[in-house]
Amino acid sequence: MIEVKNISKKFIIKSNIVQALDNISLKIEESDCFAIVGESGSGKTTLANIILGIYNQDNGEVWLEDSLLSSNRSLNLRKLIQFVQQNPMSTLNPKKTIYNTISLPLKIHKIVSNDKISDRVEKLLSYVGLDAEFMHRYPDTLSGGQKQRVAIARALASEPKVLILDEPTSALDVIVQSKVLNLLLNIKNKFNLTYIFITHDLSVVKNIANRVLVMNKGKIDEFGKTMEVFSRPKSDYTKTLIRAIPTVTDEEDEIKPK
Amino acid sequence: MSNKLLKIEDLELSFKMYEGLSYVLKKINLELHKGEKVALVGESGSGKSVTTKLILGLLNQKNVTKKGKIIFNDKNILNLSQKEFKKIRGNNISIIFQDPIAALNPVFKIKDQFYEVNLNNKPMSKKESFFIASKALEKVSIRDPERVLESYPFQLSGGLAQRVVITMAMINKPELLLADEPSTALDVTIQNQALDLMHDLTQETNTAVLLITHNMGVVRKFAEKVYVIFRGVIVEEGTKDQVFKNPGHPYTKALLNSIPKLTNNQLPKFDEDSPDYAAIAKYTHR
Repeated sequence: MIEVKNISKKFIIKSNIVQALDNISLKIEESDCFAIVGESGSGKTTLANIILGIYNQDNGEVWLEDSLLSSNRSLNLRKLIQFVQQNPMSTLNPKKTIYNTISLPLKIHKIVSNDKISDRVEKLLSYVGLDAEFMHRYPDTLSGGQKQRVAIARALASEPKVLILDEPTSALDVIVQSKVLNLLLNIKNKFNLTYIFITHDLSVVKNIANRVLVMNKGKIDEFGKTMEVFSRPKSDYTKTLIRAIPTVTDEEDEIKPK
Repeated sequence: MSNKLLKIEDLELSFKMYEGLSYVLKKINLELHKGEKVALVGESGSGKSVTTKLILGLLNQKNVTKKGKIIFNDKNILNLSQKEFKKIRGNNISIIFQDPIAALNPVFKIKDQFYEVNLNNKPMSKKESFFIASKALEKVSIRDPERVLESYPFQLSGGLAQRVVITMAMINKPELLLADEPSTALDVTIQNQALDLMHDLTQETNTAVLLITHNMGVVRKFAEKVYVIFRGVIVEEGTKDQVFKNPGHPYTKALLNSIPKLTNNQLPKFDEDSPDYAAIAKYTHR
């Protein structure tokens, strides 16, 4: 589905050079739930931004099926990869109603004809479990979980094939988190989407992803099937990450690497 | 003197709003002994943060009605004047907030913010304050305390800023530390370090901690005693072992279930209409 070949990216801040990504290559298959794990500054968001086309890479290529993705790609390619960000409070425009927020991608990508937009927005809201009543409300009247649902509906509007989820639940309460994650899984199955799931919460990864990429300082630290990475972590860094997970039962403590 | 440090008795809080009175806390009872680590767990809007604000005397707006008692060191502090509260804050009771970068003032250097806290304890020169602060930062394994003290908050990483905030809260050796979601804004590995640091520092000075969080994993790592709060009512209390091994209240069970487990391979299922939820709702309207 998506193939990343030898991507490197560095940022120059004053006179310091920060190597955000160092020769990364990976393949994401169709209908994967592909998790990218690592702590702040490990380069996971930079990688996502390059796949989205927000940044241009220094070298390397990104392929989506048969098309090469550059940072100035056509609308047709742009709509296939959509993005859900971490903080739902700041990703929704406070001056726009939910209807305006969700209908914008419908208009830009000309998904439906103008007279059908309202129906379509209602349908998108129903996918994420919100009533049509929400259409005419403003973001500040919504709770955190509801805002995140709106952000997911907006991402679905352009009928993408790939969703990049950048820490979609880390700003939410545990119970709301579990509801939103379940919603995401249902949507993935319904529309046969491919997920790139960026997070630092490994217990979520264990339960949702089928493949994991562990990143550390711009390099690939470990990569493999979720079961294998968790049962037999190879690198010390992955072990530290797994050990750091806050757990609630003794059984979980027992399977952590010593 | 008794061993009790903080006792909250029948604490009620309501806000007068445009729509009418909104009851936020409904007869809360809570107890902390000296040096004890207690967690108050609940979701957003359950009233856990306003509890800390009441303990610090930060809710004095006209639309606030409060009843009950907050007894700190055998003295009811609920209705103290701001002048008296100023003596307590930072010296006897201090607080750590969720987002360390937001908790620090962006236009002052770290050393000036330490100076303000140090002055609260006793009069001293800026030089003296700098020395005390750099010694304290050294102790929390910050390698170059001078550079950190000369920095502005935005120049620090999240983990470093949180260590600075924790040090600042502990520098006057308070008897009670309120920690309002101290680790939610941090990465897992750094979250662990911050909790360890808080544990070590409070152990040293025998400071009691009231940890406010929604993450049961953090509770299990840190606390000795647990209170679970749901929509302004304490629905369960007990030692850590009791609550984790034998949760009595459906809401506590829901909290524990909602965390994805390392031992599982699929997400916990959630049904909003399940009978458990009806049972929870019953507890809130009393």
